[in-house]
Amino acid sequence: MQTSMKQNLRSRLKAVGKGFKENKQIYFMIFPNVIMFALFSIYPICWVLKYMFYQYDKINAPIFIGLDNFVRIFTRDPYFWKTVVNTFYYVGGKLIITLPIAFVIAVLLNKKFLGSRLMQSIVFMPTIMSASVMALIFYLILNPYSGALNTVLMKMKLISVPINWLNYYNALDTIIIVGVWGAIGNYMVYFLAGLQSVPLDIYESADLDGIGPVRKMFCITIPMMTPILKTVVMLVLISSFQDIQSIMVLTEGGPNGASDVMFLYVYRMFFPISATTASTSQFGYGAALSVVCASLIGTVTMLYLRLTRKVDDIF
Amino acid sequence: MRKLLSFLCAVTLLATCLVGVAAAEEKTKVVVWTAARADYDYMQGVIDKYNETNTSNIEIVYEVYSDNYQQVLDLGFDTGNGPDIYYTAGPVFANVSYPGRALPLNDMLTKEQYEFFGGDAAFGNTINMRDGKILSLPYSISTVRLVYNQDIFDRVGITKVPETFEEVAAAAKLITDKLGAEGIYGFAINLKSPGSALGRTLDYMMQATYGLANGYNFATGRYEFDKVTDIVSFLGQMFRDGSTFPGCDQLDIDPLRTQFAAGRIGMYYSYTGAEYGVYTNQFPTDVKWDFGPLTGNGTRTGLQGADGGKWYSINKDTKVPDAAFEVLSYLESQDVLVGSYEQGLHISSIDAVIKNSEVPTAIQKHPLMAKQDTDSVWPLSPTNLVVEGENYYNVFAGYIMQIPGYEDLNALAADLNTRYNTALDKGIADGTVTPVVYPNFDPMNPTGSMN
Repeated sequence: MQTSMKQNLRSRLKAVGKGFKENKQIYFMIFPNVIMFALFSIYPICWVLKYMFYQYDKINAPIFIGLDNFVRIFTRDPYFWKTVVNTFYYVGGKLIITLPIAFVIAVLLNKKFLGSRLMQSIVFMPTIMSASVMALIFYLILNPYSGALNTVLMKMKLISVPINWLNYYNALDTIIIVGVWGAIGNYMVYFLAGLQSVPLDIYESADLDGIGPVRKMFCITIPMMTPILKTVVMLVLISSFQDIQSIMVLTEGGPNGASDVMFLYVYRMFFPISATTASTSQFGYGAALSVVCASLIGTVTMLYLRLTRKVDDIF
Repeated sequence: MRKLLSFLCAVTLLATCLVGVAAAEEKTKVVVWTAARADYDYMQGVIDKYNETNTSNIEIVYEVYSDNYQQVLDLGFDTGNGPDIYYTAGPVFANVSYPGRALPLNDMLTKEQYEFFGGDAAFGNTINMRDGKILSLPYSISTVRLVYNQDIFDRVGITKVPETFEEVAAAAKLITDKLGAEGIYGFAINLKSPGSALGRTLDYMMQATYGLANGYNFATGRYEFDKVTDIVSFLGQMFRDGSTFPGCDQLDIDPLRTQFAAGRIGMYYSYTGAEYGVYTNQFPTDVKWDFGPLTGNGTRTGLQGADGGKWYSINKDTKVPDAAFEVLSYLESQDVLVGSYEQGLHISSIDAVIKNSEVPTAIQKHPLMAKQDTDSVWPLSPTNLVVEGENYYNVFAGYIMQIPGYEDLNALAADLNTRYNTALDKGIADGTVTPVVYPNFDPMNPTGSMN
């Protein structure tokens, strides 16, 4: 009995060894990625999962506090939930504004005309700009004391006093506009690729049937674009949840949290933004917040995938 | 074969020589990080001179950071890419050096250097030391004053520099009422970062008017924010009057200074150690400006706090401690400090520097730049406090800017007291916060009554 087991194990090991020999190129190529993934993804995730149960400020030794960080999130930290509301408002606003504009621009630029390539490049340009530089430029345009936008509006007699675009009431909407401006070019390219993949013979048949351009848009173009739309919505959602650079530069989440988003709040727990005041890092609480934020985004993504499953069935 | 061997030997010898020459030429780099921008030209000049002339084969790499300095520093330390020497002004000493990231200098400092800096009187626990370990060396003393535009005061007929809350609020309103149509406003504050804005107003006013450090009473060992509501109310008053520069809620200190330099702001609060350099080098201006006293309610309870007693610390993990100390000794040498002091780039706290310098033009022009009898270094309030919810800067900024939900100042102060004292008690109980209580603390003699 034992001999047969040994033989069995030996033959299995032989098979594994043979398999490795045959595919060693593949394993060799995967190996660096596995190491990178372990170092930069698995290790940080394990670190977060450990320290979410601790009070840890990197100066004193970590203190195990059980679930207190989570109790604090759900019962004693209304500011965090304010940032969650702001985040969803920002993501929703950016999604609702970006998609139609990017789609319309893609439809217009899909037609060949003199300078269409140049126009595509111009629309795409904000995408390759650094978000921080973009935010600084927008500060110069929007600030209420010398901003170009107010100056133009006042010269056109559209307003009589400068508008504070970045105050408590306007900051988040302004940040959405800045985010939209930076994103349109990117999603326009996706839509352009989608539009160019729609078979031309469908349009030719529609032309023979005498179908007008508006009906063609709603009955052919948009339905044919649905799979790519699903991907684009997913990309806008994920990237919008992660947008913090422009907010950090433009408003630092202020005034008084009016434009603060959840990942900026988490970031501040690890790296308090302060040039002149004493501040303490809260690594443990930050880790717990990261887990809650990731769960929220995971839930949204799952809901979205479930809602759009029908699309996959049709196409 | 013999030829080949000779050839190989010659190549090896040549390679060894070349490596040796390269090694001899490779300089020891000492990286210095700072957040001071106003004295950049001067400091870069003295550093270039050192790099060209020093015989120790050392090269100083001088890097200047902006408002995110503390963040960059934290990141540098956490990733093992921190500088060899770092600037500790403001809260950096409390946040970085004091908790244990600075190299103690006791064994490196010579007796002559110790005496040069002022001996025992110049060194103290929480000021530049911890538990007898010297973590930074004395340099300057800087405090906060009212900065005002004399030209604007002349235009609206203000003949006396305002000193009390009511006088400053009235002056701000007068300026805005008379000159607002020209885009000139009475008062400005950099509330984009409430900590930066109230750290240069409220914190200093709390010390002078109520003898509290960051709201903390050293004698009772409790936070008492309820006592300082009139200061917050005064700052909010100017917003309610419409006397503030548009967009204060999203203004950083440097954009504020550019607007002051353009003659569009009547008054703001800032540091004696920075503004002269700012308006001489960073944003040169023809505006006639000066310092006025820090505003109060007319009754002084304590000396006004002054940031001083420290400048640079050496990273305890530096790989070149000796070279770093040599660089620190150069940066804090009499020649370098006298040059900076005479150019008005800092207000020296070192008697030997003051004695060996001409009275700086800056102090001749702006007498309140100099240290006054009412200015003093203060001990640190408890550090490493983990307060749940918003800190007092954000809460009071909310009231000042009239943000919905922040209307009831007394309720806000009571809530701050509860949260800060709870955090203090919890920190002391779990050993992460060191209790700081001086039962006989006298705010009129803050350093003398620490024991």
